[in-house]
Amino acid sequence: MAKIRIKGDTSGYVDLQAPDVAGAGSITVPNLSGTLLTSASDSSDFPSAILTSTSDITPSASPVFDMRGINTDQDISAETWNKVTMNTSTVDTNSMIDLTNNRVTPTVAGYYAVSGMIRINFDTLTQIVLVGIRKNGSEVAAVQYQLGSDNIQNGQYPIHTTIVQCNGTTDYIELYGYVGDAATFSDITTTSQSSILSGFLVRAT
Amino acid sequence: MTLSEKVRAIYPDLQESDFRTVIEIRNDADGRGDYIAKWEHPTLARPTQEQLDAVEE
Repeated sequence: MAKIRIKGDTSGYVDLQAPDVAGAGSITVPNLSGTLLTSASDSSDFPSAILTSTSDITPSASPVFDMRGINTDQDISAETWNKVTMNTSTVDTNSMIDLTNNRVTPTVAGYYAVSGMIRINFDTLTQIVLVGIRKNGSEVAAVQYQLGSDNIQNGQYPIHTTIVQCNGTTDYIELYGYVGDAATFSDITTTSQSSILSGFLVRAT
Repeated sequence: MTLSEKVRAIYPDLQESDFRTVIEIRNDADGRGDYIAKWEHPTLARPTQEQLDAVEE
């Protein structure tokens, strides 16, 4: 087996050895100074531009938003789709949240994972609640809570995560709720239990 | 009286499910209040503003 042995100046050596298989290969050494790395090299030997951990893979620049309606006491009519008013921006990495219009307008084009929850207090027990995520006013996804009689009580009503594609300029996302009987949205002071619309960029386009 | 109550007063046979299928009353929290965003009922005509105002009176 042919190999070339290069000895160190004072001790040790490195063998360059071709694999014992048919075919031809080549190694081109660039006209640069540096250290050759192998599959056994420690990650600390890699240049900083090389991905060496999961934190390098998760893009720190990925937009994230989270806005809430905390103690807004929003009175709503029965049998009506009501946009949930928000008054607090919890996370807004890319200036997406518009509390004046209660919406999120992503500033980076792509697919966003969006979820929400509405805190609802009912004037009387009701039979049906719907929670919907809308893009540009049109329903993208909705979840329906319905019982056989008027037994739905005060509480938090979430909607599953859904994917919304936004163009990064004009498309906007909103949270709506529908109830069978008159109610109040976000009648609670606890931030963690308040109405929420949150999301993050899954894939840029 | 809310808009849905006025609509129900005009058409007493409407069911709750009609308001999440063929009829949509919406409030965009922009100060304009409730409005009819969609009316696709197969037999009942969309109420006019005059009809709605008459209910209020």
